[in-house]
Amino acid sequence: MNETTAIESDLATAGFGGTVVLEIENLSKSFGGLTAVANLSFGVRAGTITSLIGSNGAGKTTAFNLITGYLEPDSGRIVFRGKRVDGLPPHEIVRTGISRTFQELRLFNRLTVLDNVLAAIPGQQGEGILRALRGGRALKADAERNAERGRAILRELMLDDHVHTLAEQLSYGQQKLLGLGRLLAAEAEFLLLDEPTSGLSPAMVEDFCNRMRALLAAGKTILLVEHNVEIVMQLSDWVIVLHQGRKIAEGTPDEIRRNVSVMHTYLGITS
Amino acid sequence: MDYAIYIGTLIAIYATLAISLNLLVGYTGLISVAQAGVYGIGAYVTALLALHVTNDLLVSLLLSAVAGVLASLIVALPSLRLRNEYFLIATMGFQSIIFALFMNLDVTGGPNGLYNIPAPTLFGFSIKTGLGKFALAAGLAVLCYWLALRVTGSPFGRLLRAVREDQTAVASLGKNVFRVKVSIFIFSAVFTAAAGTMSLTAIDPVAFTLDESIFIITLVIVGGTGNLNGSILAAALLIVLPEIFKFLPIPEAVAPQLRQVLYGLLLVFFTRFRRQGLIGEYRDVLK
Amino acid sequence: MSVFAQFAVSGIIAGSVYALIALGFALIFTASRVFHFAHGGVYTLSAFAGYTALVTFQLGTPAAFGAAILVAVVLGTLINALLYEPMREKGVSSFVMMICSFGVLIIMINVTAMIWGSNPLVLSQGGLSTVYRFGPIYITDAQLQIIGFAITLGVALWVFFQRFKLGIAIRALGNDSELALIVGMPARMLRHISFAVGSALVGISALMIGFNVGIIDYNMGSDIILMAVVAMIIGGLGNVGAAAGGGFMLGMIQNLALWKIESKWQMALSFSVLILVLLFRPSGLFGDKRPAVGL
Repeated sequence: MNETTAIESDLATAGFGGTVVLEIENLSKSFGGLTAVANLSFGVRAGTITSLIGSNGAGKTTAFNLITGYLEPDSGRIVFRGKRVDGLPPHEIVRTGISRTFQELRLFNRLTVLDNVLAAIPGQQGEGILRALRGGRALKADAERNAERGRAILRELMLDDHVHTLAEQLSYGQQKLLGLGRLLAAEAEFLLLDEPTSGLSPAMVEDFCNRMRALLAAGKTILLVEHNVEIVMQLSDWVIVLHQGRKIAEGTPDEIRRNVSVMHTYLGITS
Repeated sequence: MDYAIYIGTLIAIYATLAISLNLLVGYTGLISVAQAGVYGIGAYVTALLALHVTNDLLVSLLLSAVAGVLASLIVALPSLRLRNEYFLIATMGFQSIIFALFMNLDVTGGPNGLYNIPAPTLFGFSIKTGLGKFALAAGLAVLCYWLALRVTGSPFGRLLRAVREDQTAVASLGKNVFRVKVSIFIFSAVFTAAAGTMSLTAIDPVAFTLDESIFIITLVIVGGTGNLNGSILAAALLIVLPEIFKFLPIPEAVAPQLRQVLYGLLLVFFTRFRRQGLIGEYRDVLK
Repeated sequence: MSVFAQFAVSGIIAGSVYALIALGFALIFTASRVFHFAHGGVYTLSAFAGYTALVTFQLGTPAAFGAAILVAVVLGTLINALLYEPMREKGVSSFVMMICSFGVLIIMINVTAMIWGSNPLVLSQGGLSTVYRFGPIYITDAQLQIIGFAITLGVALWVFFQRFKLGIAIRALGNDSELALIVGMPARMLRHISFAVGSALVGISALMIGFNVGIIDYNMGSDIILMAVVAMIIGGLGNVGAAAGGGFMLGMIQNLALWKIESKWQMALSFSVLILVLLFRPSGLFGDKRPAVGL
């Protein structure tokens, strides 16, 4: 309980009012001799965009993998909406409302754009084999509804011209949009975005930033891993700086900018 | 004419086997070579029931399916967490063990197999004629095809293909990959074992070796993974084609080996040059 | 006790046989990451080539070995060049190549049966073989040759992969493509060499084993290649030494088990061990930590 209070007070001094929706407490993970994450603690408030920054190997993706259940922590706790989620398998963590994208996209390449989105919709009636075998009109109606929802999402993302194109045939920017589309279809409340703008043209980066702000306005919470420092500063409500698996600073973008030691360590490594 | 019916029966049986395996391999990406073992279990359970207990068809089908599913689960449950090639090799191990059981246990008749198996009866009618057996096998094939179509066209079918593409991504969307795999394994096993119930008067364990599993995989590959119609076409083709040998001046002794060479050539050809199979679109399904 | 000793010796002999085949198979696997099942077909055809040279044409033992090696190398490299390499270029997965390899195996052993018939053929060097006796143990010169060759080859390959640039480069093919370039040869050439050498080894082994058993038949390859796969997995996929170790283990397990179980259960036992290893120690008993498990 002490750790939570500490995090709460950190954020409170920064003037935030929202509840802490995700708490990482003393998270550690090592692989053989390599420490990926050490005693990491931070909190994410609802309705904010929080960014994790740090050079390669700082532990950002490891943190993501720990939060989403792809890795089990050696020690520490992860609490989401008051419930412990560390140690749960990925698909169960997703059920609690946490969703993620992957740096390497992981789209369903040989499925159509529409199928990619439809595969993400939760609670579909035909997803159990017995129900699928039984068939029936209710099933068809459910499928129709979901298909409509899927198309709506694709319209939002301006991918509706490509509904029947195979995912692997899209451009890189479109593929990233599709990845986001899957998250939207999954009705995620808490989104972990792993380098969502890497490899995109400036115009697309702008588009993505707008979409992220729109998601926030719709009540989502976003935890971001980003290399692009400018985007981080522009977009984030809160920034957490990692270095060699440890948190070395956190605060508002302005505070981080003013934090000379951070800029040296961070810029020193990235430049 | 009788002979044509017999061939038809074989085609129906192998179409069922190919469709069942296609669901595993083509749609879900689970490459298994244990299906001859499951097929054999269906056959042996039916035969043993008919010899010692009852030859009622429905009972045989039910118990064969149950036995097949159990065997399949024993193979699948521990092996599903293994990566592709290792999963295949694990299934190879299970196939060999099942075959050894057929060959060596007294209850299965050892290397001689089982014979003089009474024909199945359905609601009191004995199914003894070639036509009757054909109707049975064809009925099973049609049922299998119809249900497979339902499965593949459903959201579950979409999940199958998603699992084939990227399991990690499927898990990241909150769907239980393990449940999906086990479900399709069970479905496939039901029909594979049921196929073993068809048209038996004698069983020879040699019919259920690894070679037989490879033959069924060949059917799936030639027909095109992910293509159910292709599986049926391939079954028809690969069973009828060697019959043509009978009309060519090929010595008796060499005919079975020539047939095997043909199958090998088809496997090589389709994996090397035409991975989409006979009638598939070039969607590179088998990668 | 002497029965046990004889079982142990049989185990060492069988283990050496499996190790021999597993070594060549593992060399090829290390270089190409393909389960080259057709290796069993190469094995079979080279044994029959040796037979043809020795028995049909009476050309003598060295010619027999020459024929076996030649046929093996030609077949092995052709299979790689005509099938695996083009498939690799198209980005085909290694398990599809494995299925293709199965097809080639089926073709090769059945062609063998079509040419030489399905009955086993007697393969002998003429003259009697010498049998040595060590206490309660009997062992023939052919068997000693096999054991000796297996050990020599195992050590030689181990040294090759650890100390020689070419060996290091081949090992690196599987995981570190930059390191693979240290010899200045493109990856494809390294793979060709691996297939050539691996096949040559299996050609020699086939003939030696044929001499030991005294007969050859068209099924010999498919039976033994399955065992080689089992050996390689039991031992571990990381290196050839592990594969050889797996071979020895397999031979010992199969033969010592005869103490308690009937010979007809040997195969089931071997595959049970395979499955146990896959489930509980997927990196093999002696291998690198390259897991077979993964989501």
